[in-house]
Amino acid sequence: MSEYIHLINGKEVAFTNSEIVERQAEEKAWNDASATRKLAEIKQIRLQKLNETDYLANSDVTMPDNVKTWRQTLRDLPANHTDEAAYDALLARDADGKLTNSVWSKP
Amino acid sequence: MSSEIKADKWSPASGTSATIGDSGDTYTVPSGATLTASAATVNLPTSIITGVAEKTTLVDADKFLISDSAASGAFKHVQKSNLPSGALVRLYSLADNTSSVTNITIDNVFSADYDDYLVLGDLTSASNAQNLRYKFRDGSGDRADSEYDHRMLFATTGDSAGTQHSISATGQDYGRLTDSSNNDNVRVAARIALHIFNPYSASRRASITMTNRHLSSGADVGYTFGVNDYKNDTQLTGIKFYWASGNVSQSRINIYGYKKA
Repeated sequence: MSEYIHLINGKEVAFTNSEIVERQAEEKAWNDASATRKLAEIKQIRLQKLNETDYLANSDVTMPDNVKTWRQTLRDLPANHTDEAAYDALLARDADGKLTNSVWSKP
Repeated sequence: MSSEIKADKWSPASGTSATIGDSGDTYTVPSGATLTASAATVNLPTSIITGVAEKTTLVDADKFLISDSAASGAFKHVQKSNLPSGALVRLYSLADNTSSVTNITIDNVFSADYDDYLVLGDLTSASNAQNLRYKFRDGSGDRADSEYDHRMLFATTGDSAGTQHSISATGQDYGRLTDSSNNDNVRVAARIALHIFNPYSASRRASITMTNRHLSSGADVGYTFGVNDYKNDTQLTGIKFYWASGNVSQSRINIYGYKKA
């Protein structure tokens, strides 16, 4: 049986040829957008990291220089990381799900 | 008939006990005759229940014998459709399916019998980092017109603060149920709890509200709160679940209808 199978009300039904073509196009569109999704996830994490130190920009607080440098590094991530392998390195996590790339660690 | 006994009353020859016939004998009360036990005690063998065929699935027209308290305990029957039950009626069940399939399609589950539905289930993808999607269906198959909108908030554990973000999209040709999900069969990629409103209505659009749990692509536990709308007021009769890419490696789904009254 084809690897493309409907399970319709509990009964397995093979895709027709036209359904296979349609599904493969759908999967290709998804897979082609993989790098875009990863970059979006990086930007989400970056936004959260920046938000966590935004209070240091208040007028009654002095932001340490190393934090300024770190925040600029975060802002520059998309410019300095431009392919999917670089995105994977930024999104690497340990077994507990914690991000492992040192770029995310606040100094 | 070889002989006939005519008597106004039968009584034991002595004491208070008597027997009619012998084992193997058959006595017949003819059609039209009346056998009245009045308020007497009638002992019947339990085999009148256990000795007949079992029925394992009840339908609405099945009947139960009752004693009607509102009519001096008179025998009456009540149909299964009138029996009291919970507010939820299970309409579809897929139990622990581990066959790799491309989608889980459930047809003819929405009807005029119910306005709103509850879907509980879990699905795991064969590939990592997939979004769980759905399409409504009708008698012609998938509703793949660009009428699906979704808006949802995601959060995952992960680093100390966790990550949160929201997404929205309009005019999609599919609905979306989770953030990027893992392919771990043991920890389960997605557990979904959907309320589907008015899928069968021809005058109101269908909506889904949901509280789902997913396992992120990094294997962190996350939640999805969100809504989906289908902006075509057509009568929908089914739904299809599938991952953006790759197969469904395991699944378990139950769909319930909320009783109207």
